[in-house]
Amino acid sequence: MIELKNVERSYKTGHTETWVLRRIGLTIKEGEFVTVMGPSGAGKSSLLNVLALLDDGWLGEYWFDETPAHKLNRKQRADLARQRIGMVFQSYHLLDDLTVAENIDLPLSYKNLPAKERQGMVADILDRFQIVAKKDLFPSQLSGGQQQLVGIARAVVHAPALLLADEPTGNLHSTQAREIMELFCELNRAGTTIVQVTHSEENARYGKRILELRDGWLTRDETLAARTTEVSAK
Amino acid sequence: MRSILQDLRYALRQLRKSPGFTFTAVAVLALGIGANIAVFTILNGILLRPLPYVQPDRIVTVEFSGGRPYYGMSYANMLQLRDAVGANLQIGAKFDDSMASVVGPGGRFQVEHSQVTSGLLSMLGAQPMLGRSFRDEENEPGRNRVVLLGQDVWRKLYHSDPQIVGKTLTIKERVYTILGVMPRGFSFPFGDDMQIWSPAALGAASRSAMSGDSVIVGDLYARVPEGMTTTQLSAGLSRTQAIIAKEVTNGDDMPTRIAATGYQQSLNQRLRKPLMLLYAVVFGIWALACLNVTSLMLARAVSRTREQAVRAALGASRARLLQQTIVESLLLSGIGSVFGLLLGQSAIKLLWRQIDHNLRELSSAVHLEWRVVACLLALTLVTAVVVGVFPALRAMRRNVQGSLHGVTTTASASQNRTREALVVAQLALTLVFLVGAGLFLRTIHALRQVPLGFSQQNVLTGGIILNAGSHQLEEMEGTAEQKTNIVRTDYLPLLERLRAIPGVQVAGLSSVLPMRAEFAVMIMGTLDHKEAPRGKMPTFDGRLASAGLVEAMGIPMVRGRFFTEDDSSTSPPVVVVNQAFVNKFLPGQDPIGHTFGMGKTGRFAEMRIVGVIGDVKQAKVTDATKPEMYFCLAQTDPGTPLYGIAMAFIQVAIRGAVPADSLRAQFDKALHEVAPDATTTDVKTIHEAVEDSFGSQTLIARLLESFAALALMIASVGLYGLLSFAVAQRTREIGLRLALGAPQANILSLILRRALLLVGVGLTIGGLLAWFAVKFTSGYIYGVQAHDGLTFTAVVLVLAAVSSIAAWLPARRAAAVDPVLALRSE
Repeated sequence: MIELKNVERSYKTGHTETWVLRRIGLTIKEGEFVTVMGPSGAGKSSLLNVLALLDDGWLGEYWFDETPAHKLNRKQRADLARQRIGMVFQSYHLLDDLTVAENIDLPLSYKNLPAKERQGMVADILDRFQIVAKKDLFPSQLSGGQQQLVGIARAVVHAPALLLADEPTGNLHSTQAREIMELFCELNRAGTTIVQVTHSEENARYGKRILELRDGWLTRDETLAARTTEVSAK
Repeated sequence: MRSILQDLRYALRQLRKSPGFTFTAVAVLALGIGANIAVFTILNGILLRPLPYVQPDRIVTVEFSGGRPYYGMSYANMLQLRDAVGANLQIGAKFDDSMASVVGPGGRFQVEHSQVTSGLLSMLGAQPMLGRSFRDEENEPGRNRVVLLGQDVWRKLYHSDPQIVGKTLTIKERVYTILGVMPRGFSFPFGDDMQIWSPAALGAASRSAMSGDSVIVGDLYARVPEGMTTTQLSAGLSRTQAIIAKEVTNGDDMPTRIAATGYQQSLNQRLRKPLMLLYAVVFGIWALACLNVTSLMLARAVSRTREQAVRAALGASRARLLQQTIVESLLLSGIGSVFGLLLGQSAIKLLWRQIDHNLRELSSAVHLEWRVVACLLALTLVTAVVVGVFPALRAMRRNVQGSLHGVTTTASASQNRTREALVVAQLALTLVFLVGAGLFLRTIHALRQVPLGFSQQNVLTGGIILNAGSHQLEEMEGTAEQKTNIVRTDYLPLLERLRAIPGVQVAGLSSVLPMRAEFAVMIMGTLDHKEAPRGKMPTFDGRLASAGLVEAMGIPMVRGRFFTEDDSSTSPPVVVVNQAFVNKFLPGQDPIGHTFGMGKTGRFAEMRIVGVIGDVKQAKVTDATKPEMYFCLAQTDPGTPLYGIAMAFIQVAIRGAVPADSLRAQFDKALHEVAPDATTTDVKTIHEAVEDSFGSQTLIARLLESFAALALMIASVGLYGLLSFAVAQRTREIGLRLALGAPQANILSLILRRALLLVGVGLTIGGLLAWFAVKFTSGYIYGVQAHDGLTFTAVVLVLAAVSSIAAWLPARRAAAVDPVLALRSE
């Protein structure tokens, strides 16, 4: 599904250039649940931004299915991301002035879908995530876990093929974190490819594969299928 | 004190750290305060600054009121009025002031020579700084050859000679003994410079003559006695005047009412309303600037919430936090005021020609002085409080704990609403100013379209002042033979020389030229020998003119002919009238051949009308043309009724084949060849004279245009600042929307929609305000309705266009937000 070849990313600060991704070569197959780990500043979020097609400043090749993303312009990349990718953030990033239902509707509103169809999709996802009762509440009226639930609902409402999550449980306590990770597993089982960034070994075990980054280099690529099953069986 | 200094240092550091904010706030305040100070400097000079006399508010002008305002008051009449009120009424009179060319060690200068009563200076409470004042007996003919010098005449003409008293000065071929020098700042009439004063020759005959040859008329001034009001004085004088008018032969002609008006008020009356209108406008500009900077300060307060929270957590009291903000706003307002003062004074310098033309003699009182500085200081303080307190109080209402934990890093909805309301207010005010400026622009355009009745192309005009001794009052009784005929010696030779200048097509002389009505003479007489009571005789403007005048001015002949070289002192006297004269006095008749008479005998008892000229605009393009009669200058000899006009003032009109401006030097040269002592006054093209005649309308239009442009700039900066701040504040949200797939166009419309809503509300409120505010422009606008649809539409379009640009820039920036950077706070 995703193939990165020699992907590099650097930032210029003054006269110095800091490399955050160095010659990343990576293949992610459809239906995988990949965890990206590494210490702070290793390049995890940068890799996620490249995968999300949010970042334009990288070098190398990025194939999304048969599409060469590295050859697309910004608008084409944004179109591709809009159709195929969903994002979950550590700080949820819900818009304070929009209700739960309106927040979930946000990515659909950018897809020129008929209002009725959108309403149906939002209703489905509210139902699926069991948050129908909260649809008219504002983010400030929800707990952190509930907010992240809405964040995930928003990320998957348009049924993306790839779900990217940057420290999705970083601001949650352990029970809430576990519920969110269970939700990810469920989505993965339903066919969504997931790439998550986390510091937590426990969360990593929910995935089937761990990638480790250090100083921008991909230093570990390990498949964990059995352990993940074990964790989810608990 | 120490804490204030500390706050001042910190404020300076903060302002240095945000140069964009500092520059915008200082620039906007400088413009707001500068406009205010510029107009206040003028207003102070004209309305507030006391005249340089003792108890100046008690000095009044005493004039006839009601009908016949041109009726001059005789000296005998003045004395009777004074005697009726009693000895406690101090009066002074001025009978004649004329320009004279005088020579001293400092060179040759033009001075204004006023002939006054000996008591005038003591009535004003003025004493010479050198020498002595006039004595009563110095008003006796023959003893009046004494003169007091104004400070500037003494300085320039005599290099401030301390031994000046007792020396002599020759004025119009007469030798005067210098009695003294008036103190610095003294002038009378107020505001004129280079003045000298002599006692008028007031013989026994003129002290008692109410009419006839011995009568001498002038302007009466008085000091309102203690315990009496100006109104009481007017009433008392009117009662006396009614009795005087009854007693005088032919008294039914004489005005019976007297009006005493404060001298300062009489000087500034015509300027009071336009000045107050202008001050209201600049007050609005200042309010706009304050709204703008308050909005900026509010935005800044939001970004400094965490800093305030840290200070509060460390024990800073609310008063201390307030003090810090006020010190910062005071610093901003102080810097703004300094630049504002410089801007205001520069604006006055830039517009000085127009200000000087509009204020005339009062312009000398317009300068920077302590009242202006006090106003500036007060404005600085008020501005600091207005722009500082509100944002400070709002910032202090915040939750310290929340701010410290970063829960409330963005502005609250109520703060956003406040800032949006400020922008709406700025847009609304701007629309009002733009509508005002639009109406004045249309007025000036309409004024320029009014048919003037003459041509404005390549015509140079100017006044001539001769310095012949024959102007002296005491020579009025001389015989015709004793007098030099200045028409023959000066005017006609001058005309010859002017016509000989290369590039001059034609030249003419007239006592009054269109749009240069510095001088007016009302003529009464009989038409076709039909006798009528004095009050019912035809009365109209009388003018002297030479051959060539209508060609020089491009005035069309309606019937008959204008004066020619054949009209001379030996040929039968002829006159020319205008169409308005025919319409009023000879309607439906052929005016050619009718006669006009002044007196019952002599050459001028029967003057034949030989031509009718088209009506020309006389003093103002908005006024209807009044009846006028032109008398032939070449037929005006000493002893004829109109010779006095020729002696007083003559104007020149020169039409060139070349641009009129290029003829100035040759005009001066030609005049000096004919009369070396003579001077030209107010030389300008007829086009300039027309523009000058628009008077305060041009000045107000110019100022309003500048102020409206200023308001447009301030409001645009306000909208731009607000949206920039909103974009900065919503960067995370915009980044998120982009990350969730929002197209750039969607982000653009997100920002623009809000901006356009604000602009819409601002324009609606502004439109309503302007609809009511335009009533203050009545009396100033011409040729355009106050609720002119075109002006309102154009202004709304301009403001909408400028606002859209101001909104587009931050919106475009928003659409270009990098989602990765925006979400990096992760």
